Amino acid sequence: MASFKLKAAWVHKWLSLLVGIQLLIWLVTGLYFNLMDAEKASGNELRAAMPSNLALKETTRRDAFFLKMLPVNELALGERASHPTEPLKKIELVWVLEHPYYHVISRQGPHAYQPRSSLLFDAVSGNRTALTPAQISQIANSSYTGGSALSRPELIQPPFSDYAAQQNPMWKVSANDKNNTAIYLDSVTGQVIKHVNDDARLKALMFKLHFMDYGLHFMDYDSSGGFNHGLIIIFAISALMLSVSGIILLVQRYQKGSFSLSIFSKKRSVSVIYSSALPFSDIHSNSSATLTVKLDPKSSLFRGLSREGIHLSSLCDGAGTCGKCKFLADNHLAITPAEKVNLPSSELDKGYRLACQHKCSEVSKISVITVGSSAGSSAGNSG
Amino acid sequence: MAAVGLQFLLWTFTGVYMVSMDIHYIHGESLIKPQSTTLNLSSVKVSMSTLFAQYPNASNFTLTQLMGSPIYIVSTGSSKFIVDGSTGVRKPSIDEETAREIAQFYYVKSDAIENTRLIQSSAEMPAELSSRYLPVWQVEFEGIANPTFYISQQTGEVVTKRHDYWRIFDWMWRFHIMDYDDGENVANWFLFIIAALGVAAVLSGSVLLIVRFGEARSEHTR
Ligand code: FES
Repeated sequence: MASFKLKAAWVHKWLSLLVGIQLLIWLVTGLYFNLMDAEKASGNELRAAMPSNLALKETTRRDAFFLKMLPVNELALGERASHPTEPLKKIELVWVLEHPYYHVISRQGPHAYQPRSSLLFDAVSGNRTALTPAQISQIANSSYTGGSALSRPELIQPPFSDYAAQQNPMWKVSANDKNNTAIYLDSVTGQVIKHVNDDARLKALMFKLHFMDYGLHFMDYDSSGGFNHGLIIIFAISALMLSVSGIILLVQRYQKGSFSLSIFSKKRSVSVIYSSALPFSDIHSNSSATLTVKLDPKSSLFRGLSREGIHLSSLCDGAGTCGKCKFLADNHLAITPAEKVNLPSSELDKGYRLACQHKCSEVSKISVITVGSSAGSSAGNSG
Repeated sequence: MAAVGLQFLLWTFTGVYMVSMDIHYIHGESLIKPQSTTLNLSSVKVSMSTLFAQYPNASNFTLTQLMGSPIYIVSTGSSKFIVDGSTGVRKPSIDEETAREIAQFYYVKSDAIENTRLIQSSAEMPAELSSRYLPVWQVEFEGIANPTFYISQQTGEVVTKRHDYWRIFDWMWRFHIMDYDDGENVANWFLFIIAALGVAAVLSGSVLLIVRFGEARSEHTR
């Protein structure tokens, strides 16, 4: 148990050095998430509410019946030649600026940001097509309520600093507003995927810090960033061990009474006969080198004395393994297992004990050998 | 401060679980058998124009597959239904027997079904399901970690998969954000107070750390 305590202290010290800074980052970013304005941080401040079918007008829908749409089985799907091995999965009818298109999907993950293979066909002509920058501009415009000028659409490839998880190309349209809004649209269907502004970028940065997404990708479950990666797993386990060792230390120190929880308890008055060199003074003598100190009863005698400037010899700092912190008491004290191991029975019979193994409340008169200058001077002054 | 220590333990313990479990696995993506069947267009005998004529309230159609055969999912704004892609016949909403069939078709393993029930209102809905999917069939399997599929009564799609790893994750999340009632609110006072105290604890800890390492050094040099 004693060496276990030592280990906990050692583990705790070194782990805190390793994870300390990240611990602070976790807490501060956590506070940010706690306090942030979720509405603002969504990036949708200047985003118009648009139905998923891109604002299909009632009249368009009613007249759809009159449109002669090419049946899907007549589509020239041979044009999917770029991915000949990928089987056809799904065909969606999508409306873009009041015109119907077939969105032909051959690969799609459970999440929209995962890699997708799909093509767009004009549902009336049946021709393979792609939306023009002019159409994208128009859609972007209708989704933006800010009124500032919008840039020309740009088709860009992943990765995106504004959307780390996204693995498909997107159209980007930038607004010239003070919050630096950027509008991202689906490269194939032109659907507005998200608005990103400086508020949203701050939130994304906070997530990056919280998830330790520092671009050091190893042991990633997938390349989409996020929180499943080797670095954060190592740090999380270290932080867990830090917490556990901390709690072990806390419990041990509490049991030993070296805690300030005992501020309120009554101090114990103990007479200490001290000498700075062997041999021990006779416990029954009335030496002039006697000092009366008030000790915290719940503390170990070793700590209690040390707090009064009376330092006993020790190599293990009170862990009960070095056998150095010997003292003599004028009353009989129970022998602890650590004492059995570290003191010869002849000394135990004479009443020698280890100060780290007994509480201050157990003694009233003791004899000790002090080390270090502060003990000497302190004892000397008061004596 | 003891509360902070305890919460540190909870934060780090729940954090380890959440970062070390693959989020796609947590979402139950591995419970679904990979589907490789191609949508066979030659068997699709109904065109979208015909559907528009038949269902004038509809706005969108998606041609997809249900258990390997082509279907149209028809959306009318407020609700959805399915139409057989080869016959053009509107299918009734999914009954219990079909729900079980669908569940077994898409489930990656062959565990028996333990329980099936229809959930129609948010009052009878378990917390692990989102109300936007209602009405759904809940199909519980007997396997390890209690896999459960939720199948839309309107479209037959497997809309949500859950297993105990997700359920544990959800609890971990609650303990992580310290929202001990419904687990949805990061902006709670409790979290604020403990996190602020936590910052103080880490700062005072770093002072101690510097002192400790300083001591160790001076002992070495002595
Ligand atoms: S201090 Fe080492 S045994 Fe007491």
